[in-house]
Amino acid sequence: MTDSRETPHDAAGQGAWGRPMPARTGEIAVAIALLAVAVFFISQAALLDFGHIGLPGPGFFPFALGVALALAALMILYAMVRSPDEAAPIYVGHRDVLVTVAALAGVAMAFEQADAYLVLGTFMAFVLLLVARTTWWRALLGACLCMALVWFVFRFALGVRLPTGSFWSGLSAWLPPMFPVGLS
Amino acid sequence: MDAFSQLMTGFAGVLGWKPLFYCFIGCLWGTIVGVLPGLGPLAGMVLLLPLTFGLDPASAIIMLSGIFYVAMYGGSTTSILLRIPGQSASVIPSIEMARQGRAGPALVIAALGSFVGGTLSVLGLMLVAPPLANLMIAIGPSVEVVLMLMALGVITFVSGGSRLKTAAMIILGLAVGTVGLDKLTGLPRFTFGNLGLADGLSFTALAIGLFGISEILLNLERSEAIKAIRPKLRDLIPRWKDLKEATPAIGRGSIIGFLFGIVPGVSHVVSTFVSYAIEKRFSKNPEQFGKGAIAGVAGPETANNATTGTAMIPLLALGIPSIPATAILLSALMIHGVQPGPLLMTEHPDVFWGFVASMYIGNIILVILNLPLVGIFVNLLRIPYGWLVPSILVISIIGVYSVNFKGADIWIMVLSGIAGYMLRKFGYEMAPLLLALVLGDRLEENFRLALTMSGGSYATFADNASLIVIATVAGMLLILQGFAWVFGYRKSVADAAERT
Amino acid sequence: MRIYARRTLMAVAALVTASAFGNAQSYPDGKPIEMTTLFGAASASTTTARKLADGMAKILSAPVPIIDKPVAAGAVGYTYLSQQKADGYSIVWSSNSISTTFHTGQLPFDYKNLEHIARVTIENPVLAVKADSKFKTLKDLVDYAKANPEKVRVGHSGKGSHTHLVAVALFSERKAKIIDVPFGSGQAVTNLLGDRIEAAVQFPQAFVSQAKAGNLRVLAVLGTIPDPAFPDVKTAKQQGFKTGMDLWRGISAPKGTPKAVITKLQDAIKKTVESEDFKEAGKQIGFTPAYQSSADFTKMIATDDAATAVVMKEVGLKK
Repeated sequence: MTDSRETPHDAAGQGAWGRPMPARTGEIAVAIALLAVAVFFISQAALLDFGHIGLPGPGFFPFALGVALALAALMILYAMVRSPDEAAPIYVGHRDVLVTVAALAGVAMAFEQADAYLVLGTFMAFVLLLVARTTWWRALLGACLCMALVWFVFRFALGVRLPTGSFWSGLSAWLPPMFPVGLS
Repeated sequence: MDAFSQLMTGFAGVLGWKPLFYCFIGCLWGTIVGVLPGLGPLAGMVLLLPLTFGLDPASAIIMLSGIFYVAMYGGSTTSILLRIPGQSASVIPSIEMARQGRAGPALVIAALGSFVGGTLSVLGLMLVAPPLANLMIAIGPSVEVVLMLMALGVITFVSGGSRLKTAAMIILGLAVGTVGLDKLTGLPRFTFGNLGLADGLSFTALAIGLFGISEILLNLERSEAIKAIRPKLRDLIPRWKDLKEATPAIGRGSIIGFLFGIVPGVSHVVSTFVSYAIEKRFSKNPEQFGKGAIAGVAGPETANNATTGTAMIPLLALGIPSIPATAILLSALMIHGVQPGPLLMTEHPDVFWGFVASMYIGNIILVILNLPLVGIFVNLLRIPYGWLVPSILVISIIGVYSVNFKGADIWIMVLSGIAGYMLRKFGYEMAPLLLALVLGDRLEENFRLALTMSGGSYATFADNASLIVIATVAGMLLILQGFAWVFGYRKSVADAAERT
Repeated sequence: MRIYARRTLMAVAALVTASAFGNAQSYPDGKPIEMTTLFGAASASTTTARKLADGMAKILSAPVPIIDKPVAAGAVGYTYLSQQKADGYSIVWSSNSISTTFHTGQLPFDYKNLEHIARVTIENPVLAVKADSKFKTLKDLVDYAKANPEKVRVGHSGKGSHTHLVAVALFSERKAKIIDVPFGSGQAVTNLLGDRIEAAVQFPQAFVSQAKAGNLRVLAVLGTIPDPAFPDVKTAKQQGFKTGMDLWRGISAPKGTPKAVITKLQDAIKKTVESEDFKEAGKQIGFTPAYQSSADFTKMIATDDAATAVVMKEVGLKK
């Protein structure tokens, strides 16, 4: 294994890898989030046509589901608030998880604006550097290799066209039309 | 005889190089995602979904289902070689064997069991599905509604973890499924005037997010550096004594797997536990159980794969998926304009029979890939997880994007990944959520259709046909439940074992 | 090797001329012509488009890549296309959806905002009943529906779909009131066989195997010409009705695309559509090749659009 780091997987050791949070607090937070989703569905469905009992309209189902979800969330909430806080704490905010999520959000933001290959390559290098904890030149090499592979498999073999910036279209203008790829 | 000649036509279709090639690719990818920690059958299928768009429908379903049944087994390889239980609890006995230094025989018996179980269940599928489909033509939207509600109810009842939380996930899935244009009136719902939302939230993005991304995030927290066992080829030749002990267990496992395959949502989990309980009961020396008895490996592993064929029946005969994997197959078929349902066998015999034939062949490929070649795939376990993560994520992003070419789908994937990660941390199951997401549309549509056709009378949900279906299905489930109970299977035991 | 060198040379030369003069004579110069499709990468519609693109690419010796924008019934794809340069390098695989999305308010502009290059195919909606149904002809069915309002249930593929509109048009022409049952996920045939609806309007592909097996009887083709899948079945027009609406598909381009470019594309499409290869594909995928020139096509769309508007108003979808 080239990966030398050892992640502790017992509860106590995890502390270094995240922030402890009482399980009950977490449960309550999730239940409240579900309740919020339910309220959203109820309020929005109320704007739609309900139809009548013999022929429910488009608003009927979402409304009923919103109410059911709210009930379920309230029941969970009730059970959790009443239960003693005995369960082992849950660890949230692991560094690697946060890094990966941030990187993913970056990709989602930049994917269509900037060049897809550049964005994915940067993402790859970023995660390799910070999560795989490899050296920067390995990360860079890995990213380039991965992008070459992605281009070959998706663009060349499967014909999937990813959004590209001006960089590639500028380059493809110089390639002979022999390459029907046209990169962009 | 008719089924036989149809099957032969199916084989003729599959034996062409093209379907065979896709079957092989599916099985290969299934082995890879099965072996790689953090990628299960579902994520594996979803990731390859966009690649099937250019294929004909038969090849697409052949490839995707190949991923499904091979990855069902592939997970066992990892667990045995790393000695850790992965996603499926079926492997606990095998891990015990591996801990005793008998990883080789455990692998062999697991693979052979999976092969036999898988093959027998396809045989069952082939015999049951066509006559069942003919009966199903008589079933209208009202009965479908009743069936789907029953299925969702059963899932709430039998799947792991808190029932209240499972119910919440089902309702959430149904609610999220209503986003987009209402099919019956063409009115937009929850789209806020955004055309991008008119077709609803992308199923692929949601599925990859909820299953794939959340799994990766969870794994990042607990990547363990355990050295994999490298089995020697010599160990892979089964010994006569092992085979003799395993054979009856494999037979029983096949039957149990096939029967329990109709349990919606969690068929493979339930069937493996029931099989384990039964093998323990039948064993001459039950004290050996938990210490590496071969029957304890053979039974559950066989049952695990024997559910695959049965799980296909509701999808192929009715068009209603009962487990998440068949839900993904359904969405793949729909993308290709093939509507699974009672008419599938007459309208698209090439798809149905080609698929059945491919399952026979795929199970053979499974054994070949997983026994002699297991050494090659073990190497995959040596790739550091930090390198796997970005590679898998890049494939996911491209896969999601290439379905609709919408940047917003990547957001949906990321956000549902985060949501799935948090929900799973607190013991909410993703399988019911995904299944409800797929069934939601159908449920609402059929509910309103049934009322349209009956002129607004709710009696349509309790007419003769509905009652017969309810009685039949409920009866079957009760018998299975009683059977499981008698042999000492308890949900609480299964829940506890899953958490280890 | 020699071919390669020659092609490179040609390409370089072409590139220079094209960028220097940008004239339509040398169009398309081997540059990719992007075809936007609207209904999903694996759908029958896009499969047809791909077939057409292959043929056009050969004739024009330029790649014709497909960009799929299967969102909001095509509204997103049309909007995208209308924002592209009108230089002939962007075309769209258009259909009746341009009228329906406009009338529902999803699309901010109508067909007049595009140049229509050529019609390529049509798909005929057909009406069928169960083989043991008491309705032997279309007239039987419509007369019965007229005498018994809200008794006849007619299945189609969803509100606002082509099969829905044509079904409504047919029955309302004789002032017959029906219950229309929208089957979003293609279960119309199952329900017809299961006796839960009296008739169904679908595209031929959905009926072919059941009709051959003798389980269904096709009463009429609701398009403008008989369908090759049911050569003996007369159109509604031939049976004395006025309704005839087929689902057309063709190629359109942004407004202002040069005439010379349109002619070039139109001729390439004509050659492709009339090839044996394309006809063969039609039998497999389920469409009828039906080439129409740019002028005829534009005229046809205008008539079709007007008829669509009337029906959509009737079913309450018109904004």
